[in-house]
Amino acid sequence: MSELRWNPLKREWVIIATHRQDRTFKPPEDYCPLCPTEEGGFPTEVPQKDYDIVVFDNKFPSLQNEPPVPAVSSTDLYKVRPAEGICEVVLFTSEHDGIMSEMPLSRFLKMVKVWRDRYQELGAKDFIDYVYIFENKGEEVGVTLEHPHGQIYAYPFVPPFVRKKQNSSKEHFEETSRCLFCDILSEELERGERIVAQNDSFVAFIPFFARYSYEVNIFARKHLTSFSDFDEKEEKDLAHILKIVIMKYDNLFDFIFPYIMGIHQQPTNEEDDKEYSHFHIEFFPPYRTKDKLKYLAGSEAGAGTFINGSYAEIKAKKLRKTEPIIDQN
Amino acid sequence: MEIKKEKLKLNKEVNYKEDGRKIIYYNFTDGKEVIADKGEEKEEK
Repeated sequence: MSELRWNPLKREWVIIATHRQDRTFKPPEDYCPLCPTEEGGFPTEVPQKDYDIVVFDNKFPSLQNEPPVPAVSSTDLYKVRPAEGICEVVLFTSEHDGIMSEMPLSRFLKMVKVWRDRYQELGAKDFIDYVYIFENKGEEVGVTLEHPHGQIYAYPFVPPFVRKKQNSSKEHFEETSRCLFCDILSEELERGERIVAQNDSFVAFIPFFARYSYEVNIFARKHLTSFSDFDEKEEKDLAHILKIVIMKYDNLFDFIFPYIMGIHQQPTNEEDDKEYSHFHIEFFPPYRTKDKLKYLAGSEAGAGTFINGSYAEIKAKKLRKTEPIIDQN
Repeated sequence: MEIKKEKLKLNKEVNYKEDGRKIIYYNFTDGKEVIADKGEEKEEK
């Protein structure tokens, strides 16, 4: 069963999805449900072998196109609504042991083009307010299936972290007539010390206010609101900088670096927000050193205030000096 | 690092599984690419 329950204290929706308790949990490699179905083998999620990238509806979706009626009724205080939305799985490759940082640049470009297609198709639906494309990578962040994959959640509301950033950007725009993201990028470029990599269209940096030691943001240089604004060159440049950042991550400590990656774009709820919505990507890696993880403890989980044990300037320098070294100008 | 190839063309094939879930196969025009920073040539598919 699934439903959305309103938290009147935080003014946010919580997704209840009890069926997700039954989802496949760390299966052996020869029983991977994300590998293509072999002849005579057990049926997997992907009947065809021959594809570049495949996208399918999640078998255990948190949000559903045709959601069930909620199990409980709303009260004045406790609102309940159906968990309407769409959850998709994106397979980056048919190779179970594929390593992202070793994949050719053209595969990253294909991913960008597929993400663009999904953003546009899902965002065009009346009941979708926000299309969130993300990747959870590594057991450390809770990944239960090893096969390289990402996910897409198309929400019937703008999620709270996004809403908070949108509200800040809107307020800044009303005060200055400038986009807050554009101003942040200008300041980062002016200082330069937190830049990790850059190309003609994008800049990767550890933000001044980073919460995680190796938290990298990628901002579009131009005021691009979503994939829909991208031209061919910008698609290629995004593929390029994504590969660079992931290669640097994997080379940092010489193991495949886990992270949560989220792509943020203009909400699709037809608000008049083009002037202050700005395409950006956030990476949240859990490792704070080679052998120590960052946990969300009392201050982070209970009070919402992160404690970062490192300076962004120092960690950015370390990532900058990690292979591949590219021209920073 | 630079892709030398011209535009990739996206083709999508939409199917439905037995339980009604949608599956979309994306395929692109084949081609060679040159990864300039490694000086090596790779071919996909």
